Amino acid sequence: MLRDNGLFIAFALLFLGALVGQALTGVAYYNDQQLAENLQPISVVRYVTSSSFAVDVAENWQSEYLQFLLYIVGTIYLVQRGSPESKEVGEEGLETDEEQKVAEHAEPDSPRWARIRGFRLAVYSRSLALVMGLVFGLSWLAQSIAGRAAYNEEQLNQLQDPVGWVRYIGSSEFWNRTLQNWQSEFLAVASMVVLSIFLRQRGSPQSKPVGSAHEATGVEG
Amino acid sequence: MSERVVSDHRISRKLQFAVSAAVLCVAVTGCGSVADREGAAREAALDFHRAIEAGDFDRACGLLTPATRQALEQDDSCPTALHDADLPSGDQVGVVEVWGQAAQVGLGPDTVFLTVFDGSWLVRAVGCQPDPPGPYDCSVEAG
Repeated sequence: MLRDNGLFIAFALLFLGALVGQALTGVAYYNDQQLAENLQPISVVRYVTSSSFAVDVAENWQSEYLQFLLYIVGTIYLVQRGSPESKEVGEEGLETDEEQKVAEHAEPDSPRWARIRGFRLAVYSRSLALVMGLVFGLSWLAQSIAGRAAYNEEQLNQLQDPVGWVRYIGSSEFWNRTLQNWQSEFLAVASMVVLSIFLRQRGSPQSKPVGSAHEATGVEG
Repeated sequence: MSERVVSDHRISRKLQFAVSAAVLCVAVTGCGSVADREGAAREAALDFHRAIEAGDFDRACGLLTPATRQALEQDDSCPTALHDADLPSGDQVGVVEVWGQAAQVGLGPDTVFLTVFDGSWLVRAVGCQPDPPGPYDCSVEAG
């Protein structure tokens, strides 16, 4: 059980550990700012239920899910010669039903929704991108709502008027938070695609086998 | 009879849990509804203005944040400084905005800024007039 799911369990624990660390360092930073403005510090419990914590969490979530969404959809139509992250050049597109093992080409152990043409197959064929897109959309919406609340608290602390949601999502604050996360995600993907052409990590399925040619595309180790 | 006792016991346990959860929620996070928090901020601003209008400057000083009070006490006592500040009067409540630990309440021609201190709303700045595009210009505020 543990061995079968080690990758998920390890990352789930890392996620929880990092989230706790973010909460503890976040409340310390928030309280430093409160004291600098002659305001009262708050407890960690109040901080983790605050809009300040929520916006910091949501802005990172949305960018990660956007990264995966774009990667999942982008690699259908775009290829990179020599990258294990890419399909072979010439294989761009949704591929045939036979290649995708759907409908009459389904195998005995194929998922139920992959076997019969219709609405279920259409949904299931896009389910990974749909869920990633949904989580991205909800996280971005949460960022905008929590971000506005945190921004308005800061506005009031600086003796300025709060702003409405529409004005907030057009503000430099909202887009700066958004774009500073997006740029790092896009850079990470671009680096991975290119570096994996020339560099190797023995044993990792994210890398080509160490002895594979630089020109070999779509080969995982 | 024993069924009734068990049933009452269960209701009592549920009630205890609900009350405990509510008390814990308010005590730990102060999580009242938005309307409750807005009402409390409005009351605190009104309370301050009533004290000023009644000439009870000692009481008004007790409703200021420590930093605002300290700023007032630089040249004089807090009650004297508040008296001299000649704050605008008004009990017509206008806009009430509560975001996190901060609030803004419009009272007649005045705008009051408040913050949470030890679970209560205290006045941080008062006698404030808009001065766009910058912050409000306040006759009483923390330095």
